[in-house]
Amino acid sequence: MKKSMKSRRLARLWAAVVVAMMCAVALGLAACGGSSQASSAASGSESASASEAASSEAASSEAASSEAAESGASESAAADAGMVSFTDSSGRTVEVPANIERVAVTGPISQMCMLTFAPDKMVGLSNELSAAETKYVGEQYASLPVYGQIYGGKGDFNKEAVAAADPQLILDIGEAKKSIVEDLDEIQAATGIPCVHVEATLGSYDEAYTMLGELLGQQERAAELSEYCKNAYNATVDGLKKVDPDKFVKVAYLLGDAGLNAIPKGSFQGQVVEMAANNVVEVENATGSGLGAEVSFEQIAMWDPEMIIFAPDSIYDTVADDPSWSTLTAVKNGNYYKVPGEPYNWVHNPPSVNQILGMQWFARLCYPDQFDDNISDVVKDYYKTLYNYELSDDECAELLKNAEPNA
Amino acid sequence: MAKVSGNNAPVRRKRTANLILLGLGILVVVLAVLSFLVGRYPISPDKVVAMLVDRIIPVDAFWTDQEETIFFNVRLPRVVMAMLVGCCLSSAGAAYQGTFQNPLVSPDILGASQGAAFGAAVAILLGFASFGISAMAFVFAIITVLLVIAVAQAARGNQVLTVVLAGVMVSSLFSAGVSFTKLIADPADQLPAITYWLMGSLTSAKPSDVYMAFPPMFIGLVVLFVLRWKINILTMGDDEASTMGVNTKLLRMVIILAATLVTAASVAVTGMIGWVGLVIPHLSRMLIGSDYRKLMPASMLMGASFLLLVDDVSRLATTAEIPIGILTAFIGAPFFLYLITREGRKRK
Amino acid sequence: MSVSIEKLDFSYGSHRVLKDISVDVADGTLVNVLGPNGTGKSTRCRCILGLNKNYQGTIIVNGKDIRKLSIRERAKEMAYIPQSHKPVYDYAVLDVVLMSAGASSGMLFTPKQAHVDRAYEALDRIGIAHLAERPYTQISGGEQQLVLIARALAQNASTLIMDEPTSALDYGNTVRVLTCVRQLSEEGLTIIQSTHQPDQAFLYADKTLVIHEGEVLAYGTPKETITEELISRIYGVDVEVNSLYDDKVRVCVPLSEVGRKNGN
Repeated sequence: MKKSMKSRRLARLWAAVVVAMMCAVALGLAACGGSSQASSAASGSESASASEAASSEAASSEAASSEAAESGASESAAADAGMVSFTDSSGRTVEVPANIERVAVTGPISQMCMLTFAPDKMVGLSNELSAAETKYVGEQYASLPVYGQIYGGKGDFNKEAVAAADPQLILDIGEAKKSIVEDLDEIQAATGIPCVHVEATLGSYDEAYTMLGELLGQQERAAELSEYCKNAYNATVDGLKKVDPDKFVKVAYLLGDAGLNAIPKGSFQGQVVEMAANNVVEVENATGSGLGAEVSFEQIAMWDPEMIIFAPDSIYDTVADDPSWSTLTAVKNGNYYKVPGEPYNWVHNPPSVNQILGMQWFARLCYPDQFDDNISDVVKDYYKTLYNYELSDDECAELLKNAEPNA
Repeated sequence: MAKVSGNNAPVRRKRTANLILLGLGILVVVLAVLSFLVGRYPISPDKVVAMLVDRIIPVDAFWTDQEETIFFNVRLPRVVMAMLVGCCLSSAGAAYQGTFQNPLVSPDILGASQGAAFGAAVAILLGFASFGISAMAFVFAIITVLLVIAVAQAARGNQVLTVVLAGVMVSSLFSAGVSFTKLIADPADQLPAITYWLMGSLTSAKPSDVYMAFPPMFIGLVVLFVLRWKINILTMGDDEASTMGVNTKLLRMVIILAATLVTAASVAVTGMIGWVGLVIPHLSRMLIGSDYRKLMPASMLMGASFLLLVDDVSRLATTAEIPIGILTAFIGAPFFLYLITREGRKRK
Repeated sequence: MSVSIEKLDFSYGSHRVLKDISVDVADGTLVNVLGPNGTGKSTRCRCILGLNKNYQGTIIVNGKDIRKLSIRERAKEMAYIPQSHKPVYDYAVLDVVLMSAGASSGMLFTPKQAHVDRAYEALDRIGIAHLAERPYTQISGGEQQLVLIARALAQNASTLIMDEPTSALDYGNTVRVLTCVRQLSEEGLTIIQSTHQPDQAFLYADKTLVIHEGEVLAYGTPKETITEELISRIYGVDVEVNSLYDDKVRVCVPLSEVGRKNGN
């Protein structure tokens, strides 16, 4: 009898504790939300409308976005340069401010491009910067707010957070998805911030940078990058012209902690490899997944590629000692390499401007004799031009560890 | 008179059941041999036989070194692993269905899979290699079930109900944990790795995986096999079972631990492979009846055959692998729907 | 050799279900426990069977305090016959009876031929050996109840505890099952069964125990115990107890209906 009363009292106590905890969490959230709003308002350029947005903590997303839109409008009025009409790569014509100082990116590709072009205009990040990225692009950008990406990954683009960061433009760069027009229209409608898509593929980074120059100003920097990309691409293509495509090296690009994920032929991620080599990984449905297609070791043995490149955190270090892997021609001949991974994977992940470096590196890895420059110089030049970072000889050697052609 | 004629009937029934078990055993062997012979890398049957014989009596090698390594390091462990995992998941499913007196229960009921998934996801986040991922998955699967049991012990009332409820709750807790790890994972490489792990695959089965998973699997399977008749009594409910002299609490705990051991070991090396543990015990029951003395070995054999077959499809159908978890779901879910409608018709 | 309950007291939480119950059941007696729903019949059943452990007082079965017996030892002293119910899985009748071997064995045991023989003997004793190979779910409710009785017999215990064995059965099956129970009691088994029907007590019991609001209201031969006054008190209906066949049998007839018939 006593026991049951005790247990009932205990249950009531528990319920009270749970409710109290929920209240505490709610309060905490409110406090955090307020303070982050406040800080964003403090760091924001315009104050009146931004702090107004901050004060309406519980407002619905539409309210928040319309306020943000207002602030954008008032800002452009303050800039007193008016709006201009801009037609982006997807054919959408968008009214954008003539002077854009604040840009939000939609994913890792546009983030990496912006970090090389106009990092100071970024109001936030789609993805947190890794230590390696911070090293080259600069500490100051690591602390920008992170609000997610539209495509791929987690699809966690937080429109309210973007609106709160108060950009004048939302910028998407990369290969256009089929739904790009609707997707950008929707985000533009929801946030009241103009959205622009800039097409960028391996051969068109020069045009992409030119377009960014038109959009964001800084034509000088745009021209520099555009020229670099154009020259790098053309030089690589010229070098490869000397190789008979039928005699391209047979290669497999393998990833994953078992090395059993392969980038399939014909996929977006395979572009860099296929420019200079014959990708042996032919599967029925070449998907554009960042982790490729899973294949069995038996299948790899069947293909028996002449050369294998492993992703940075795959099994490069252990294949030589593995009884199965060591039977493969490429491993037996020591013709296998590790793709450099700084600031991020040079070949495919994310398929951003680093592919320009990856492309130059891989062509020289396959056919060192067809190019009169050496890999180290190309790499140093790339880091200097894009990241304004002087690589020391040691750093360069460290980057290219296990990634240089065998003497 | 009645006694004599009656005594023949169980003998006949027993003989039929034994014949079915024998048939299932032969099926496993035939499928295993077939699986040895097929693969993406062509190794002719005479070489396979000769290589196997060579391990006992030396034969003059007429095969290449590569063929030998591929057979012994890639194909053989994969086939063995498929059989072991099929056997484990099915017997665990059968055991759980008995102890919880519910035919719709699967080995995930106490959260072993979700726990393993969480452990693996955390390991991937921490950048562990494949051994670390398996070990973390195994440990977390065990921890999850122990947690469920501890919660159920603390609660009063119907033991079966509290265990299952605690299982559902703890399971959803860990599943939220998995979602959270996905949220903070690097979308470039960690996120796809977690997603891939959740789909389940036998592709990277190595000899060392087999050595690692075999001891816990073996212990669990032996315990389940030895206790199989007692599960019959448990299905009658705790009150009845206990008045028939069975320590239901102890027995249930031992069975849960054994089933968890085999499930955890399976999930740790292959990732999540659903439906096997739910569907195979059902199929076996349709084939051989509910008596666990026959049902348990039948489930074990049938599970081994089933996963062998599905894995053969997964590695042969296309150049790229089809994750086996997807295939089992494609086969399992429609079959399960069929079962439900069939049950409904029977009731009428 | 008997069941002896002394000062049994049991509470579910703050609700005291059994109050100071003391009863002695001699060996070979068929006791019928009577009482309305919720008066503690089933609770008392569960206490005797050792399923409810937190009781006060002592319960001694065949000279042994059941509190001190292990689960297996308890199963050797007494067997339980629940209401027939549909099991989740379908077993052959023989396999259901074989489950009785759970008491006679350790953890790792599976039944041997000797246990199969004993199961057959039990089925034969009840007269349903022909059902041995039939699926348990496909026989009638009465047959299922008989199978459960056979299972209890195969358990080789001298005391049977039955909880409303006939409440879900039709008339024919009720008679068949109770006749069987009576027969077993005459063969020397001690049987305690709870029931709703006072009429059944007159026909199929040596003694009747009446429990009302957790207390023993009466305990004695059916004829002494079941009076018009008692039925009215525990069930709240007025009946007339009539004697038939030179008082070999008695029946209870609700007075309200008798009155209506007269009025017509």
